[in-house]
Amino acid sequence: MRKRLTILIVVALLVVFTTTLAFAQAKKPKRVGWVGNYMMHEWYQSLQKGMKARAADLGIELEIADANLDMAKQVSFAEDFMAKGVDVLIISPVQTEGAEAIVKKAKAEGLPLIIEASAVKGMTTLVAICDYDCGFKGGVETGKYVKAKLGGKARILAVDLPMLRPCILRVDGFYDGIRTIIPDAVMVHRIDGQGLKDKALQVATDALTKDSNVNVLYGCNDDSALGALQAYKAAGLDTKKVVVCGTGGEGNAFIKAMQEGGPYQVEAAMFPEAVGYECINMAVKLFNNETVPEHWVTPTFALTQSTWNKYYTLKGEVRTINWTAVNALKRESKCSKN
Amino acid sequence: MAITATRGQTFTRALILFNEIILVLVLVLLSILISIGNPKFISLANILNILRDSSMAVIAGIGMTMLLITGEVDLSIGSLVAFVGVVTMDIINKTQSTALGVLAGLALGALTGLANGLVRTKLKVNSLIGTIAMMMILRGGVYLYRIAAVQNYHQKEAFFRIGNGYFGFLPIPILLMAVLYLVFLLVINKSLAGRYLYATGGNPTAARISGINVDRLKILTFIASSTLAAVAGVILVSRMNSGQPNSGQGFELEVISGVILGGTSLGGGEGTLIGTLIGVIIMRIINNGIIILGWNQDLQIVVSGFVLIAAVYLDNRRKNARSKIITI
Amino acid sequence: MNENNVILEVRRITKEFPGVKALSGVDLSLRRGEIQALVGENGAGKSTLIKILAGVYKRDSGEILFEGAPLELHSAHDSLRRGIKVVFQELALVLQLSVAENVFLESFPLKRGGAIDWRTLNRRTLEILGSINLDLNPTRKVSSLTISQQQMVEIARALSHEAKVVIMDEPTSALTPNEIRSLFEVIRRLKVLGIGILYVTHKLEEVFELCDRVTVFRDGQLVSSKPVGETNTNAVVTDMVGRSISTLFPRTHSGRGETVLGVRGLATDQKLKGVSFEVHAGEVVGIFGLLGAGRTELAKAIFGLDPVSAGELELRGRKLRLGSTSHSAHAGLGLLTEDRKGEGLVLQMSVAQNMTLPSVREFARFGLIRTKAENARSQEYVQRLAIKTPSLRHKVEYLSGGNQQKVLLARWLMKKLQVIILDEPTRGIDVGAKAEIHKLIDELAKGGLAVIVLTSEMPELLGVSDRILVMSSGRITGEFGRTEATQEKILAAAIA
Repeated sequence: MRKRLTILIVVALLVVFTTTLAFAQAKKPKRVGWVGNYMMHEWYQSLQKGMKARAADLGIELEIADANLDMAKQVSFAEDFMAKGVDVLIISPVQTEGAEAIVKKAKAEGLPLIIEASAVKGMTTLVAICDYDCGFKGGVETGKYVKAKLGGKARILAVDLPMLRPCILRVDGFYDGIRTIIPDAVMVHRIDGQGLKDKALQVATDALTKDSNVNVLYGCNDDSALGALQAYKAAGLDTKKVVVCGTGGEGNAFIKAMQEGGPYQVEAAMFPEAVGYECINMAVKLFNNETVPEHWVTPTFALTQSTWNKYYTLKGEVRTINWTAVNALKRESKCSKN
Repeated sequence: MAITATRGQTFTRALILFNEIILVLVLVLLSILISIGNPKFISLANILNILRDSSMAVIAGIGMTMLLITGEVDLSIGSLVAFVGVVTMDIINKTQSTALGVLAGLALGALTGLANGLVRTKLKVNSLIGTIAMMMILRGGVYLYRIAAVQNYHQKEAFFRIGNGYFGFLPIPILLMAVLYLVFLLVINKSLAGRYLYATGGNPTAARISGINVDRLKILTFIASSTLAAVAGVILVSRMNSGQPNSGQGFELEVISGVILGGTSLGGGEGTLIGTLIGVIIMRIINNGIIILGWNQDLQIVVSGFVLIAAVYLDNRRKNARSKIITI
Repeated sequence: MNENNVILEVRRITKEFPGVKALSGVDLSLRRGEIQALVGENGAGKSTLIKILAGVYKRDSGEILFEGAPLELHSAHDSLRRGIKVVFQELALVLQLSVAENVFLESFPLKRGGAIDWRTLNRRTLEILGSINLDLNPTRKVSSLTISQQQMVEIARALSHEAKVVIMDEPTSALTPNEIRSLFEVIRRLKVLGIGILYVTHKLEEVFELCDRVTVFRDGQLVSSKPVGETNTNAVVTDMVGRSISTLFPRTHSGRGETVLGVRGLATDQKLKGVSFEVHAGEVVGIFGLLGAGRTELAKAIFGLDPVSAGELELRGRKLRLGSTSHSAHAGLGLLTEDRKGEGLVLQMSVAQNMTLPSVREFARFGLIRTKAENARSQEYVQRLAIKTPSLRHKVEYLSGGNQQKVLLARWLMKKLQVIILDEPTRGIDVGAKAEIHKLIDELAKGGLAVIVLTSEMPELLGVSDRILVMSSGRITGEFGRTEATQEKILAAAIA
């Protein structure tokens, strides 16, 4: 009896040992190159942080180039990386049509390629959030707040950016989400703020003059939501009677707004750091020739004033992401709407 | 090319002589039409809203008008507005003094104007190109200074009041606009400086021969113009409650459109403040009206574009008709 | 033949501009092969009539008869197509094209298929040039021709369109005496071809040398039209001005005070090669030179409008900063530029504002201009110089050339100056106004100013100056006192 137990234990230990060894020896790419498209933006600043942290963790050399909204530059940087000899290439496309050239080239050279943010024809895999579902979650959480604290009727002012499809999806998602809690929610204004705080302020002011009976302010990004809130305040309306939901959480503005304890109650967070993190994980997977889904979804979640600090800590003007909490978030296997 | 039919002649003559009156009529007509579509347009709240929102463009427009009169232009004011907002908020955060922050913002404006003026007079780079370059430098610069928006960590009451406060029933931005407008109205129409502005733009050689230091005058005008734009930037950062590096985009176009619609010529030597005031307000009314009437927001850019073309066409017509009525 | 041989007739033509009646009921007729001079003060209406005939302006009322039939003109193209060719002072040629291309502009001879028939083009151009005795290579680029030759090309263009009427507007203002002679020959040839010619000019000597008939305009009306043989200069001038002019160049004062302006070795990179001279208080120094001699460059260099590469300036013994207009202006220099619209007047500003521009500081208190004082002073000068303007607030661009010049003169009279430089002060100005301006120059000198007059008109030069300097190729090549100067000596120095 004791002998069999010992053998069992030894075998078990051996199994554990070898698998750990196997994992530890899973091939990791030596060099990964990333050609971003607009590093100046807060989103990509945060994304970069996550990517760098994960690469450092795994001992991967990460090189970053910024195409700065120039498609031709992006192609040339990609070619440079391919010539230099990176093991995996990551691209955040300036334009999805223009990026097809890079996809073709990478395939021809047998180089694993990851697309970040927007799908490109012919790609192997996309690492990105689901915009619709993100907005949806925000809508649900906002609906719960409205039901509990604002009397159960929802009249919405949404600041959108119709030029970008992801933004349209977010607003659509928000509206569908809030209607699961409050079926007769009304979209009073759906206006174009160009994603900028000063424009959002301007158009929201005009909209509120037309009809100021709103109690939900939604922005397809944080700047839009905050701009709408400024307009609401400037119109002399009661901030205790309104709830604000932002999207993205790319910078610290939303944290500060939440810390103030005012109407900014919900943030449909998109965790840019996690996107960067997952890009590196995906790089390892591809490098090991694993099969991967066409769209690898990264986590989104509706944060509230009481829950945000589980996922982020803010010291001064530097924020750190709580990896355990964020990595533990469930994510969709594919997007509900595209 | 013969002067066309007499009716056209009379219209153009009217344009030359009664420019401001026509603008006021257009303003009134537009207002009436929009109010018919939605009476909320004429509400006190909306009128104050329109005036308050126009205040930034009018204040910057005062400077731009003076600059255009001398034959120069400044396309960098959009980026300047963003930079001023970021700097002002940052300094107030750091020093806990609204006055210091505002001064810093205005100083940035004045310095930018000085730079623009020197590039034009000493390096002899034409102001269109020179200020476009400055626009890029400032926009890149503000991101280097702060990549993320500067939030309000000071909560100073004085700061808040600049953009959101009231003086009685009058919003402070409107008061600022009125005061600056009246001051510069006096300067342009009655002062030596104003006379020199028109002479410099109308005929720089004649101005020089008459003893006017044209270079110095242009530099001072650039400084005045940028400082006024900085005032607009301070008002904006107060209203937004954060210094946004990505703000002010398209501001220069908005201001120039209003100024040109108001009758200030791109060629120099002509321009009035009353025209600028009405021109800016008409452009703002168009944007406001489209939302109040619930129309597709994409129309805002389209209509503004048409209005601008019409304004430049009328300006050209005025200029051409004028040159025909010379030697007898 | 038709009993009057009249090719062009205008009846009761009227034309108004804002504030001014340019033509009121003008009747004029031009015969085939007649050279008719149109003279009159500026603002009298000749240019307006020309522009109407050219199709540039539309008449308000009246009719035009061409070869007996009524003529409606809608554009300049129209007028040329119908057979009326106007040669303006600003020539209407395409400089980058050749002589032949300009002569046949809009009516190129074409080969079958649409390509230009260059051989025919050049041949026919040669024929036309030959008919007016002009020796030019038809393939030469027009930009390489002299002004005089360019004028000939314009006339050739008239012939290519088989013009029956050729109108010439002040054709000799930029021509040398030889070129003027050539032009007259060409015009006489046109006469032989039966073409009717209207010749607008201020130069009465030309009228009597070239023309058959002289028609006088005054204040928008036709005052007289007589064959040249039945009238004389005085009568014409009297008709033009409405009163008789005794002398053209009243020089009452010939004093010579201290040296006011000393120029030493002044040179610029472009034209001036070291100019030195002096001007005294109360003296009028006339500077003569042909086109390109460097007169205007000298004026601009002295004033500081153009950069100077060498030399010095002294004002009453004190060195004057070069290259700075504000220093020059504040030191007491004044400059009446050659190009009064381009460099002298601020067209959009009023009469009063233009007048006071250099002196406006005098009317300011605490930085604000007291318009009452400004207007009062301006009114003084309007009266003193007899400036014809509906009001002080009238925009100066609506004034006639002569009155604009008077405004500029008033500007400098108003300021307390030490030195005044007048560059072509009576160019394009009619006889009546000319005399007034010469009187003013005399007054300026009497008042103790040092006066420099740059001119290309010999009679004016000889009449107005105490001392004459001649320039050629950027240098001073001759100096003559008033009594010893003759036209021949001056011209000799000018071509040196």
